[in-house]
Amino acid sequence: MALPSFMKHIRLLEGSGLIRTAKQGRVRTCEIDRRQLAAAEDWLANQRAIWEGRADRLAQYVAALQEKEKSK
Amino acid sequence: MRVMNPELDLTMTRVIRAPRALVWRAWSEPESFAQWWVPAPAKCRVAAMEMRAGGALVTEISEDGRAFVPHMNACFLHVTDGERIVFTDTLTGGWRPSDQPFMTAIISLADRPEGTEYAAHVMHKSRADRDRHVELGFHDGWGTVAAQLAALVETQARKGA
Repeated sequence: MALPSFMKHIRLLEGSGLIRTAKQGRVRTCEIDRRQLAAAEDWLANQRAIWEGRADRLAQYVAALQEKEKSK
Repeated sequence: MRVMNPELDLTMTRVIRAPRALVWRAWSEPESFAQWWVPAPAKCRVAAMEMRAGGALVTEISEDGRAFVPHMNACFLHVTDGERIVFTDTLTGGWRPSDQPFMTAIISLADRPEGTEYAAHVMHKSRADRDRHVELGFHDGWGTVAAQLAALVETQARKGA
């Protein structure tokens, strides 16, 4: 694998919070974030995050709806 | 009687500071539902929402706002106006068995002094489906996307002003 594509993968992993990286001189060290990894493996936690996210957005949407009603 | 299976079920409640009728509207009107069901920047389109037992609940999702793909194909099992919605993707509209059965959700709304309690009890089929569903749930991202959400709500508020 060429270095640029490798770095792309690394950045994706880092962006998703699965790893942390630190560069010292010419060496970049990658470290796995075990908590994030465990969360990714826990499908039920993932489902919960989906439903919590929906509830958050519903609450926000209803708040906006309420403002709209008041301003009528 | 409802039995909770901690391995396969999740329950959550949220108090929304608004009257129950308004929360019900946000859930039961297709154009409102589409505004909050999936996190931005993905867009949701409601293809069918027949709020009665046996009625279809079909949504589509788009990453770019142009090309929509199927997202959820479910069937209402029970609807009590303003109070309760039970739906499942183990069936599709008209009680036809689904080829991708995964969950049943019970949504309850109750009056509280501060507003409305919104509760969800979601029962999943089994862990065996997890990979497929994690893939499907991919669009829903991880929890909230606060900045995008704020932008959406602000847009809504501006429209309403």
